[in-house]
Amino acid sequence: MSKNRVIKAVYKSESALRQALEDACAEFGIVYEYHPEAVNLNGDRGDVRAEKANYIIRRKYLGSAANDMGFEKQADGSFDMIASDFDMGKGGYAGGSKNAKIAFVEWRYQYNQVQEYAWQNGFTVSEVETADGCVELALERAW
Amino acid sequence: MVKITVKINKNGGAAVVEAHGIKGTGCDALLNALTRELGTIVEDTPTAEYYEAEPGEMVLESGGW
Repeated sequence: MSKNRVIKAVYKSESALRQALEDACAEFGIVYEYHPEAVNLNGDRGDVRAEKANYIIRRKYLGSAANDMGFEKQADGSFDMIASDFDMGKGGYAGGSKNAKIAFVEWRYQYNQVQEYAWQNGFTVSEVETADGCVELALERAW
Repeated sequence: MVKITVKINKNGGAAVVEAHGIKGTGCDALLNALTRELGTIVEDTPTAEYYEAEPGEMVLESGGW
């Protein structure tokens, strides 16, 4: 039974977060849930956990040993991410490897957030994929 | 010309933001604005590391994800 891990105050744009979840659904053929009132997450054995979330990817879409993962809205409008230590690649059994779908949501959030920032601030964006598994975005503007 | 480069690791981890040719408070404001938008992990990396890599080139690494 893997405990959940709360990553605080990382996700500040709900629109970028929602788009990252949509991207993950398109990429992996999974679904996410949205609950205006946060609901409990489930553990890897189907047990109900104390943590609650508004946006949830259920464990059946993440892997056989996964907990549900989710994002809970905070008073300031940001979202805390809740995922298990195992799924975040922490602990001896995880082997340092983060769940691929969670990693995808993380990098797509960053990607969408940068695109949003660029559009709002008048930057043009070009992008390249690098050999070391990164996406490099170049933001440029003339003023 | 203002140029910002953002390198995002598809396996997770820190996003690296670089701004070239921007000096002083303008650079700080721009990078800080983008860093705020990207956010930092409070739990894993309490402080973002900020340093001057070369004269005229400012590099900021935001916290991991």
